Amino acid sequence: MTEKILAGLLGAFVAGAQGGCALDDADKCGPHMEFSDSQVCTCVENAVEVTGGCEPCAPGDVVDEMNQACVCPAGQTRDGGGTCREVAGLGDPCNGDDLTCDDPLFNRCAVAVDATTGYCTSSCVDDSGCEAAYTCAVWEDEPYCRTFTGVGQACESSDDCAGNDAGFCETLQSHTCQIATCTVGIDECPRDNICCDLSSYGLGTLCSSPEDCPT
Amino acid sequence: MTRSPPLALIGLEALLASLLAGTAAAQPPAPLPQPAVAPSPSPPPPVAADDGLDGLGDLGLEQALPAEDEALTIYGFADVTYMMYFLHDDAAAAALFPKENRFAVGNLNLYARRALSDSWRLLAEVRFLYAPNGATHDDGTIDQTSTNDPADFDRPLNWGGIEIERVYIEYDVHPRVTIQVGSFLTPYGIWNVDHGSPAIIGTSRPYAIGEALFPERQTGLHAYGTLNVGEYTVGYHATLSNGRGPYETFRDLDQNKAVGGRLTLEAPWAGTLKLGASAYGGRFTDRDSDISVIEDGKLVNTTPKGVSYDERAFAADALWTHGRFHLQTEIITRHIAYRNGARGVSGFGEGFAPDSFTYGTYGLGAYRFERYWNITPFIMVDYYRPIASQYLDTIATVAAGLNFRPLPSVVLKAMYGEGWFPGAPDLLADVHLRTMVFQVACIF
Repeated sequence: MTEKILAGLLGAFVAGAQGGCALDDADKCGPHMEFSDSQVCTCVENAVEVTGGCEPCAPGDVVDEMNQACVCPAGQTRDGGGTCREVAGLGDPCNGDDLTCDDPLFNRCAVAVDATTGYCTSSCVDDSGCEAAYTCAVWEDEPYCRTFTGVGQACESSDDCAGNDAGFCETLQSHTCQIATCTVGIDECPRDNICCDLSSYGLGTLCSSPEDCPT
Repeated sequence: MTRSPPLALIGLEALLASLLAGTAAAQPPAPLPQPAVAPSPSPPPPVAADDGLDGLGDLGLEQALPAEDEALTIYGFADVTYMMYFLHDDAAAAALFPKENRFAVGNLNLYARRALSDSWRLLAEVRFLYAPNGATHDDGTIDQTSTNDPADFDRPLNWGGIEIERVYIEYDVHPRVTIQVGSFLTPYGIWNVDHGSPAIIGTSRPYAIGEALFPERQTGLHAYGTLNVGEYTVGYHATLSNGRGPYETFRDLDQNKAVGGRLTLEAPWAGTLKLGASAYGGRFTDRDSDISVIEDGKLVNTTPKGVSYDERAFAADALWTHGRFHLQTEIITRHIAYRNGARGVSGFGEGFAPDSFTYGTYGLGAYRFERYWNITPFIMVDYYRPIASQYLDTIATVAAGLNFRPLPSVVLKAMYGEGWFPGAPDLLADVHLRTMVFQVACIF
């Protein structure tokens, strides 16, 4: 009898100790998460980080990577029911030539440097005058609502980020495209973010949230 | 999904600091109870047990208390260390870890003990600290606890803190059952209980012990006892506690009690062989305080989830002594599973911490000579698999040294250790950390 009890205890002990060994990648994270190459749990596509985990965005929403928020895509706004609807004139392609911005509100054609075509948008004073996917570029002589492309896009080198506003590939940890070469104090960054001086880390400047920027 | 890179870099810094500190700490070997020192953490009652003092007692400082003694017995131990870290000035560790060779006052622990009756005892142990003076933060700033001394014309002084290592009252319910209530050292493995630096051979703990895969101490109930069966001695421990948490000595934030246990067998096989198996299961919770708001004229209370996970830990240990030869080993595992909506951030600046399985093991061999102050050469190997990360896979260390005991209450130690990171990517692939540590420890 004693031997059976001891054997049972030993069996339970070994089973318990081995139970954790069976932990595979699919079991390591919670709902709406996946185990990343960086060996941490990240949100699945179209989900955002919240306290303690990830929450999926509503259908039709996209993720604002810099602010970890569900927002309507560029060119859309949220209606009274919470659904993203297209805004006539906003985000329409333009080039200042044959493609013009005829909407009286979205009459600015924002064309990136080295680009030939842009998108129609509006002038603004601050972020409250722009849709959630846009940032009021107050550092410009004539501020307008603009987007930042490529933020958070997976990359292995900066070549993968070429052509985007987020043209720098952060290869140390996140392996994602980030916005570099901003100016500290001017803060040419997505809304609610600042330009952070990381020259002491050999990274120059990068846009980041204020709380994540070393002081 | 990503978080901004500055935080990621800060996380990396923290990782390195922790990693390097831990590696350095891992290099010393596990405790080696001297042959004259009873290594068992739990001698049978009525002698106070599981207090880690048997080593001290056998060194002539702490004798078994009389059944009842109104006198309060106060004693303790202290150690001073000289540390040499062989770091290049441009090594990452040099920016994160004190690279200068230095003297350091390590432990100053005071015990207070009293036998209240034939079957009731009390033990308290406190450690006096210089901390938080000198605590270094991720941003490079260092705490300085300077203040004015009102007893000396407001001249500056640096204050420190006190850590309550344990405090419990115990009662012999039966010759084979003793119950402790209070804060006690978790009964697992060989190392954890007998933690006084004079009673161990090295200068600090093996990695698997230092990383606390089992909680180092718990607050609650602890029952233990032994049974002699012929030449064999069987021991048991059972614990019920608040589990882990930031305020575990006086709060249980999840109201989920942790349970644990340990079984031991001592056999006269080729000398003395002691085997042990330990287990622990509990829930960790760290959260903000409740939030109360008035809604529709009613007071509504909400308890934040915070960070919370369930954990299971298992350990096995073996200690074999044959004459003056001593060999011991432990293996410890820990599995963590976060609760939904209560997952902690990764600590690496990106995403959330994954559920994890970590384990570590070490082996220690030593031989104690009679001459030359009982010179004891020793060697230890230490292997640890931490929570998986992109920077680190495994930590391995090897340490060797000498231990002398010029007086029963004084121990001199010299130890060289080297640590490295098998399987690590480029950042740590070729990093080798080397240390030389000298220590003098004494009992008073």
